[in-house]
Amino acid sequence: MEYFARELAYLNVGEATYRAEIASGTTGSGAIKGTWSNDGWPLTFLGIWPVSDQFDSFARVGVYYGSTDLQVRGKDGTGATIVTTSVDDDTTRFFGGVGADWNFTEAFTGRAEWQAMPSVGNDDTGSGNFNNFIFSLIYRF
Amino acid sequence: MKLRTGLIASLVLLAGPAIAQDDTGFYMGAGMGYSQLSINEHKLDRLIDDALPAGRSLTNSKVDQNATPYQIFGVDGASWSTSPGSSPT
Repeated sequence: MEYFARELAYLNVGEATYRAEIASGTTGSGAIKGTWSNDGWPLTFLGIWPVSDQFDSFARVGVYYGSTDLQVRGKDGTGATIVTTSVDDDTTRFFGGVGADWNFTEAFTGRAEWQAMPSVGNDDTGSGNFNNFIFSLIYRF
Repeated sequence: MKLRTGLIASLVLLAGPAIAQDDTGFYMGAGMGYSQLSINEHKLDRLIDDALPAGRSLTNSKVDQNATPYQIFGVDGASWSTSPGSSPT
């Protein structure tokens, strides 16, 4: 199994913020605020290609088990809450990425990577593609 | 919950071989980044519009899709050299 590794991570995908106005003929305009967030656990396998003494490149593929959360609250023109929505659903998706490692000391490695997942979320929570540039510090035992 | 089941299965899958091998190149890391989520705004509008009481509708919706993801991870790189500057052996 040369040039291979397995990796389990906790990944917080982040949060998107939703804002809108509510049009109503009787109580004036209101406002809606919402958040869409996702976090989960990518389990991936890495194929590693050494580039030089200090640098490696790699690609990863795997599965992401995550949870998508949509929270929405809306108030009308009088300040009364007229809608609250909370949806939480699990997501299983393909997870992939490519990147490079810089082994700058015996114990520490710096990593730059692009990660991606298609269509995170579902019809109940809303969904979107995930493209992520991430920098990591790795400690070797 | 499916997520919890998946997590437990993943931990078992990852931890089993790592514990069984003496020469594991186990390492851990943490990182932070930048992402553009590309959430389908029309779908989100429909979901929220459907939840509104009758006689009300959404206008001027906007989604800020910039996010700051972060991660922590552990790796079982049993065959990956742990010496700096050397290739896997």
